[in-house]
Amino acid sequence: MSAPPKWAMLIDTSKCVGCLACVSACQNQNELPVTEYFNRVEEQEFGRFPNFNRRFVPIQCQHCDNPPCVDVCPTGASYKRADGIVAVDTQRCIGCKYCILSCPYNARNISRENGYVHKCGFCLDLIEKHIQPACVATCPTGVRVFGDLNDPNSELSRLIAIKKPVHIGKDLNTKPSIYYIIG
Amino acid sequence: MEPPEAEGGFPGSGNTIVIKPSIRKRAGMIYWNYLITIYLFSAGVSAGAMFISITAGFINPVKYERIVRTGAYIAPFPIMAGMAGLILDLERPWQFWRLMTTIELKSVMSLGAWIIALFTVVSIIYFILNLPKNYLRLKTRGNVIKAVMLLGLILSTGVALYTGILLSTLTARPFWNTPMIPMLLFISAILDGLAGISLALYLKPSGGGERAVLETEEEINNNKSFINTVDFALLFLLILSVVVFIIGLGGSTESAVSALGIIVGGKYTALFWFGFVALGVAIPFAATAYELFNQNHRAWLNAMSASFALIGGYVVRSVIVNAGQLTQAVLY
Amino acid sequence: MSFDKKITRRTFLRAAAGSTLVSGLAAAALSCTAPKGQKTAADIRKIPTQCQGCGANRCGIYVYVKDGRPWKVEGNPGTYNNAGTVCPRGHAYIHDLYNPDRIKQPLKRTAEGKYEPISWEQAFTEISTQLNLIIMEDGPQSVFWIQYPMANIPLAFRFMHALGSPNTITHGATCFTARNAAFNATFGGLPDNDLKNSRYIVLIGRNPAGGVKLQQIKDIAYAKRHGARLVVLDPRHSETAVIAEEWLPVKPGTDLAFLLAMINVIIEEGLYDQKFVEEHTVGFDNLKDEIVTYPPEWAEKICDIPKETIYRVARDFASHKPRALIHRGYHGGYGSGYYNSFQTARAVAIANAIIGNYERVGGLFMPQKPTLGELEKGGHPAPQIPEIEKADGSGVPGRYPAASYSDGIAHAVPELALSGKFKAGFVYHMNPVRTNPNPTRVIAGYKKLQLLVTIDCVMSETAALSHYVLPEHFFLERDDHIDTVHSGPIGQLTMVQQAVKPLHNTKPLLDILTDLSKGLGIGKYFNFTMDELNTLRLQPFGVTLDELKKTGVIEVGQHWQEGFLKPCKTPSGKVEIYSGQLDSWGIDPLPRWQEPMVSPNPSDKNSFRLLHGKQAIHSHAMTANTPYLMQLSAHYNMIRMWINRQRAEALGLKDGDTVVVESDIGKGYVKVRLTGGLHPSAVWMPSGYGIFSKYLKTAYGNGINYNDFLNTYFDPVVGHVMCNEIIVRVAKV
Repeated sequence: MSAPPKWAMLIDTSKCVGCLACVSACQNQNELPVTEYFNRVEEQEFGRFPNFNRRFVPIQCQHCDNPPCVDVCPTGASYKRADGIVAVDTQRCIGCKYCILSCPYNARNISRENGYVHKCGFCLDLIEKHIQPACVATCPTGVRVFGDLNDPNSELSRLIAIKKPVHIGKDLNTKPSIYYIIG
Repeated sequence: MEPPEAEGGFPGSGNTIVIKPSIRKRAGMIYWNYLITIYLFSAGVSAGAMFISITAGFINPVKYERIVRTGAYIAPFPIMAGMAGLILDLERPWQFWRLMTTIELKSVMSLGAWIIALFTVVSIIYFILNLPKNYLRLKTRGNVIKAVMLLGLILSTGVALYTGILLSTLTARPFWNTPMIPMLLFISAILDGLAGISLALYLKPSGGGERAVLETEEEINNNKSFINTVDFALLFLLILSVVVFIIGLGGSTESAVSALGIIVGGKYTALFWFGFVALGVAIPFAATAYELFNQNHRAWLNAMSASFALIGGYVVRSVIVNAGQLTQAVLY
Repeated sequence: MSFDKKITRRTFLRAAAGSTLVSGLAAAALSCTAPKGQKTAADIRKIPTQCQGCGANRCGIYVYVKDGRPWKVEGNPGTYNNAGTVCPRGHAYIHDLYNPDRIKQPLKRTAEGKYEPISWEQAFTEISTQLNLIIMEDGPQSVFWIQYPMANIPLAFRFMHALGSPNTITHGATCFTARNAAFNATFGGLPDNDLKNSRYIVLIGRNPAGGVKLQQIKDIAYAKRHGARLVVLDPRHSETAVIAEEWLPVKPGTDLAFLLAMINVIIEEGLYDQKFVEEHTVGFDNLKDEIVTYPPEWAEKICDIPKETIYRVARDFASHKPRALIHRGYHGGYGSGYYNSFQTARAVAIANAIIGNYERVGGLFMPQKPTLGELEKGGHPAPQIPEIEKADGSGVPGRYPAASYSDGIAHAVPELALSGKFKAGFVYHMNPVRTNPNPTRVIAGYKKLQLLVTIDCVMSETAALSHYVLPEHFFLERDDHIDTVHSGPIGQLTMVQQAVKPLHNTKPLLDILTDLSKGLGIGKYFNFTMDELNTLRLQPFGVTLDELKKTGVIEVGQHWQEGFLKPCKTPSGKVEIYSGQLDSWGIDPLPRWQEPMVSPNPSDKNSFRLLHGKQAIHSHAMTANTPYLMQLSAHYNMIRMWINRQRAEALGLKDGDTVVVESDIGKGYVKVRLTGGLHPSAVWMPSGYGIFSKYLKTAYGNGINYNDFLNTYFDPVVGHVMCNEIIVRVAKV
């Protein structure tokens, strides 16, 4: 264990069948109520019958290295951790929702029960125990690969080098920690 | 081992259960509602009234006394209502104090909160300075008074610009993410302040109370001319801003073009073009031009034009606040 | 810190093993590192059980119980059907424990059609008294039992056989019996697919990503990573087609033409496995003689797939032999969809057989089903299997000879009730009023019964017709009979295990049957507890019940081995391309082209065939009342009927418009989704909606169901429901 971890994820959309297991698993793991989500799956259609295709794109907090949500927070409740995770100090959050609107990925949510903003935290509880995040573990086709960017031997580092993935919303200069293979 | 006791209900919402699923769209939820529109609008009116009042005061506090004083009387109050709107919009209103214990230099909202707080203080001082008893002294323009006025001018400019910058710095929302939003909202704020003053003047034409100066026909005409001239110029600039805003979005990225769609054929088309462009800009512009070039001041025309301008000012903020939230950057 | 799979798994296992010592029952000591300001370490237990979020897969899962309430679900990495993963239903369904619509005590229907709570004693006394009278008057064969083929089915069989009735029925005829019958006729059983090792996979109307089978999508993804080609033949661009190399939008009901042409190419061009065909099949020459009449040039006019494509797919398929397969299918395509479904499934079986992929790696193989221990070993007498024929005619020559005896024909029940053959019935965790065709008729039939008892957790449409409703424990509150559903390449034993104490005045099935049997004079057949029963079931394998409860899955017996090692359970012992048995029943012994029974009118722009299918977030109609899942339907706007974009535009429709759908028997309103991903001749309706029981408050009134438009048909051979033989008129409202 040399460098401290820098968590990141690779999402291969060419494998996604849009089953929403990741959405459901995430709700359970984070004990979210029925109408709140930390992740979602978007669907696109291409072409006309019979030359037709679809694509599912799972989206969640991108844990940006240049996170707009952290910049705009008026109370410093949103912050970036050393391991790359963008987190919310729920006690300091006043619920102004500015960060929700600042997020190009629509990845933030208001907790209706508590009034603070909450979001994907890469399942910190699990990864501290070397267990995959809930959305990764439940996926039947292996759309998501989670790992440590600073570990050159991780599956993630290897795939990022080989597959040449991209960032979504690249023009926005957010420098996400989630890499995409859009296929 | 015995299995544990099953307790509780569904997660969240204090174990109350959602029986009927509510139909929600996957993206573009409205998080900021009318309270934020009220906040932006009233901040604009306050800043505009203060800005016009101080400007007129710098030019000629004697000639434009009615404008200066009316503006000063208006300035502190809308922004207080606006602050109430902002606080009520928070999900945890009782945590509001946290805004005032931190300064986040990168957060427009944090800076704005401080600017508005200072503005409110200065506007109250300015209000007191403009009370009839004090006004005669004000006209002599001591250094302290000048400093207050200068500070007020800076802060009112800051508040008027802030509401736009709050939105325009969000790259996530292409409808907001254009420099024309602060421009548009700044001009609109000054216009709204002016309309507020104008409406107050004509709703109470005789002034009343303890007046420092006697009201004459000439005085009324002077003040009206000032208002009409500024009105005309600002409305013209506003029209230009709207044109540039639309052309700017329309000629930009895919995200911007699709964002523009929301006021061109989309959900807010009617509200934008009738509620704002026609009612809030075109009619006041025509009325002001008519008055300006005919030197024919009709109280009802002024009152109508000012009311429409205020309605337009609210509508445009409502459209911008809502449309911006419903648009998003194209990601992939 | 590394996150490679190996390390993750090893550390995880270590964590799990360590914690077992701490808190017994395989509970993981996941001392939750709480975020700032939250209370410390929750009490978390991890209990292996089996998911009940759908009837079919019963995936092995771990349920985490946190401070006494079910928290989350993880896949058991050892179970075959899900291989460590969980689908959305599995995650969401645990919260139905707290669903306010659960039945909390036994209910009795009053004269006004309302339900009043009664005691269990009253329920048992009244039910057994009435049942005794019915049996005295009309005989035990006038009683039926209907349920999904779930783990507890041996208990139901035992109960019914003890009564003397053969009439145990599953939902099979509305789902998959055409496929099963065809594979039985060909291979003498239903083989499984070795998708993982296959290199050319053809799915015909099968969508494992929608009608979720996690192991299948996982294996397809694995195969694709290793260079496999996936071809999906489906009128709809299914969720599996999204990850396929090729989507072939076949005209609905004409898959048989495509398959016949494929077989034609493989035989005409000599691409078949000559050795396998000679050694292990019968009737190849008959097929060779006949198949010449079905070239791709003929098929393309029928099935709308260009002949070049058919040639190419047939050649690619054969060239990958034996590591190529046509998926055995399920409901979609030819499970029970069309008049020609039986012969379509036969063609699938034969196309696989002639390339010699049977019992081969990357092809089809017979799953290793373990035989559970007998109860007699524990001194519990076994009831005689009644010799009387099944009332629905399944397996009866002259009636439905190819129908499955154990599945029966579910949608024949209303008919048999109306004709007076059935007088009393038990419905266990099933909802025929919603899942059988033409609900009006189903209601009429079930209402005719003198005694209808439903055992369920919620007030389904069927429960809301019953004279008595007996609430069963939710699956998290009970132990079930040991299950062999996960048996694939190796036999696996799994079971539903209790995770929390029961919330309401409910009982598990065994207790209900035990108490009922006392009043029915068959008490001697139910004199054991669930633990005693399961212990006896496990006896042949040398494992204890505690071991199974600790791990959730135990592998037994030999691993499957490649090669034609034992004869098929067909009359000839070989793979029957030509089936003499079918011939003796007066059925085409070789697949020959058959038109679907009905077809939309091509000159009527409002005329469509109504297709249906599953979405990954719903199982039949049973999860529609799960708030977490129904909210997903709403959030993702999934309660819409698909319609081909060009056809919709011709009707003046826009995305999200409401249309009226009308068939001979039904009429309904639904929103449409315009898409290029559907054959123009059809509309497609998700099958999980249209709940009309007012007791199910989340589900009620959301969407419509294809059964509202489907006439009651019985396929002449198998008796299946022919649920895609629906022509509807679609018009803008």
